[in-house]
Amino acid sequence: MTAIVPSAEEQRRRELAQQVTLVELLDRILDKGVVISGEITLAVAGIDLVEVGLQALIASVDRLERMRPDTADG
Amino acid sequence: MATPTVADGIRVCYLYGVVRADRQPLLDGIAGVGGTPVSIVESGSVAAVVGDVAREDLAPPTAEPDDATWLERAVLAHEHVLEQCLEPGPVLPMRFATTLRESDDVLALLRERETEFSTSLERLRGRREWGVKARLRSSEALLRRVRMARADLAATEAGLENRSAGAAYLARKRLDQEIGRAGDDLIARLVNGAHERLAAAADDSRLMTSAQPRKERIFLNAAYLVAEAGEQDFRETLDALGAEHAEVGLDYELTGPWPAYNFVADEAQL
Repeated sequence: MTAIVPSAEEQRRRELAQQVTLVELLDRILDKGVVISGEITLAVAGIDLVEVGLQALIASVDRLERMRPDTADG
Repeated sequence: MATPTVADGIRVCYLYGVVRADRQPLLDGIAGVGGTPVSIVESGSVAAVVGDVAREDLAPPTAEPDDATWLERAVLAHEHVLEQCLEPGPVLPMRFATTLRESDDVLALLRERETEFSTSLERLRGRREWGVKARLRSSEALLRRVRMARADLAATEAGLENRSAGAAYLARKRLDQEIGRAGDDLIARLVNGAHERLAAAADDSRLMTSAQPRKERIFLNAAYLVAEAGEQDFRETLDALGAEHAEVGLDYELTGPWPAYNFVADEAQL
């Protein structure tokens, strides 16, 4: 049986597509949606902690975006 | 960078969203944030989709502050649960990391806001959110188009050859700026028109801002609330725009259907 291994290029393309969708998701999930305010909610994660992860995540998306063939001429 | 640890074993009630009590999603085997099961808390005509989550699943591991996989996992889980909710009917998506102490608090929240929640759910019934981004593939085609449309600029460009090197250099700089401005104007006009046409094919629309770093090539980033009956019309409008604007190098990307994150903001300040 032959396993079909995606080429590095194909893998990178898939990864990029996922990361770009992740950006779409982050733009919605962290910034939009119903906010329940008041004493009933807990400041569990803390915005600061989410920010730390967000910076790292955006940096990784940015690295992938730079490899995008479409935008390489910029 | 040191980040505080929250590995204290405390568990909280994570609120994903609110659905109609008579349109509950199938949640068997669905893994929520931190891989935890997802359940329903019901009150009257509305139901909350919740999970029992450890605090540490909503915070970065202290060892590697640059590692964002914890956040990626958590946001994907949040989205996965909400997409499951979209199947049977509308869902009011909560903002990421909305947490309460216990399920009794969720029950109190539902009782207190049942009317508002059900009004919002009613407004979203049979409608789904779609995202559209217009991205400039390269500026080459755009600038070619500008040179074609602006005979005055083309004439100035042709006249540069007859000038001295110094004068030509300055004139070239000014000309490039002017061509660039004309290109920006053209793109703005095209995407504004695109947004108007897409908005006309939708029930509601929102322009979005993105955290994406390389957004200089993104000229339209918008969300549209589209009735299921109007989805074909919406897609055809988008396809037509893509075909019309391909010659200037504008590509349109469609994402979705999304939980209606962009169309519940009015409910934010309940």
